[in-house]
Amino acid sequence: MQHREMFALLIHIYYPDSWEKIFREQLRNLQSFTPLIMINLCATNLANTDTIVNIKKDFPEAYIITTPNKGKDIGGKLALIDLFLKTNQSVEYMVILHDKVSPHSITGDKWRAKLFSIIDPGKINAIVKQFRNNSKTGIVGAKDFMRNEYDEEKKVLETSNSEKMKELISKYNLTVTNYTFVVGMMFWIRTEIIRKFFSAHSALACRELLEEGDSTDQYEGTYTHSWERIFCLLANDQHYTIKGI
Amino acid sequence: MFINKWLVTDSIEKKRIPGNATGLCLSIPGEVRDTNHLIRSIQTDISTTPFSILLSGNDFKEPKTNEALIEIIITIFFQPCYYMSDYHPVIFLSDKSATVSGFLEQLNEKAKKQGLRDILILEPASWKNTSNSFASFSYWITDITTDYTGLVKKWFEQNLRKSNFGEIHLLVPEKENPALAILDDLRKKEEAISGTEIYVMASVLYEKEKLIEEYRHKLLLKTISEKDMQIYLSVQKEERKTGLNWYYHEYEVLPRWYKQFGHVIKVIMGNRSFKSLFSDSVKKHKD
Repeated sequence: MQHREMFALLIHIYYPDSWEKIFREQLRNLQSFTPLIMINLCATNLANTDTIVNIKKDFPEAYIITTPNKGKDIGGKLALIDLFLKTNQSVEYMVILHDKVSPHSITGDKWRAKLFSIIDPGKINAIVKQFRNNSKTGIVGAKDFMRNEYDEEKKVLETSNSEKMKELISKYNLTVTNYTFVVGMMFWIRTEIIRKFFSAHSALACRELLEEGDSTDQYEGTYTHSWERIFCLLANDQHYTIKGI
Repeated sequence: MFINKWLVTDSIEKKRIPGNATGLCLSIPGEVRDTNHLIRSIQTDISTTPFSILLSGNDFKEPKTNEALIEIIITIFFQPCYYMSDYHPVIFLSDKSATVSGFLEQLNEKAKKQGLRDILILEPASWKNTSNSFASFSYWITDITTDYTGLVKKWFEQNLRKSNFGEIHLLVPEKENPALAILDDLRKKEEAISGTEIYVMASVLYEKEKLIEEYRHKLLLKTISEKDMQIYLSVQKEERKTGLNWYYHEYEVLPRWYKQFGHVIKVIMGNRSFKSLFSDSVKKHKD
């Protein structure tokens, strides 16, 4: 199945060696699909100049930006969405990725490997078919990372981010009937979902609320972690479903 | 470099950058008609060329909030080659007015909300207006009468006694007929004084200050990294506590005889060696 520039890879890179260790080989494996590549490098990396040269060597047409460390990978992805929309890209699907290293967890590498299954070349055709055969599919992500924090009995969101999530849902007038989201913020999403929402609410304006530097929602909710959930709720608000693979 | 030579242009599409120029200074009008074209040109045509932007007060007639232009400029700041002075985005400003100043204040606020540092606004003076010369070390160069030696000498004198000083910026409008000749003249003049004591001392002073700024920045990053490590450690501690808690409630609370019987079951299932039931020095299970 030919997918010339049918999908865009929006990749946020925070760690200095992530391009070499994680993405270079992965993207080479996807070259036959000729995806549009957009990469955000965190501006805290002193080696960004070299990384850009290395990226351009293999992928001279890749779009590259650098942004301050705000909102972790979510902030980086919002900046990439802003770039995507400002450059009027016409691909049907976006694949949102980042270098999930999770240094605080002993299972970080395993998480990443599972999340990255969505860019396994052997699965791309099946994923695109899922979208094509079912017009209501809005997001496709790794099955093991689907989660729903809404307690149907208590009618509450069981997460430290519940208050901030409610604030954002109200701010953006979202109607949510299903709180399922993909933990880890890596998935395929129909571009029209992104285009529709972010045409009304600028991605950069959404980014303003996010916390600077690293943050954790272990004790208290954050806008950054709330947005990890909100992204998937955008699909539900527009009457799309989320599928796991 | 401590002397930057900018070719001021209103278009970067397929621009051939003269070798004598440090980079391009893109003149942005009060309204950008084709954002798509502009951003794509930056990404494809000047992806490795340092560039900055120039705003003119003449393009900002009415005091109104221009959110669209603010966002475009912030997107431009995110381009890897956008020129930063000590990690502050630089904007050149001509024909300052109250309206454009208001716009720049709004832009600065929005930029800071994106995590950027305060914008450094530089107002180039006319080289010929000697009463303003050497004030901010940003100049319009429109002919080949630049006193290079005097410029470097004054910069050195003013900066010898202070720290955190800026660079010299020479802006050459592309529309000036001898723009390339001017840039060539600047290059020759710089070459001519590059071996002089004043130039060498100014370069060394500049490089020293840059090194200090770099170390300050690295120290800041290390501080942030240390703070992140503390967060990770606290997460790990919490996860371990949760794990131990679960273990206690699932296993530790069981009676001793039940746990001992469980070990016998493990031996029967092959998950533990028989001898390890009687000796602690024998290996309990396979790796």
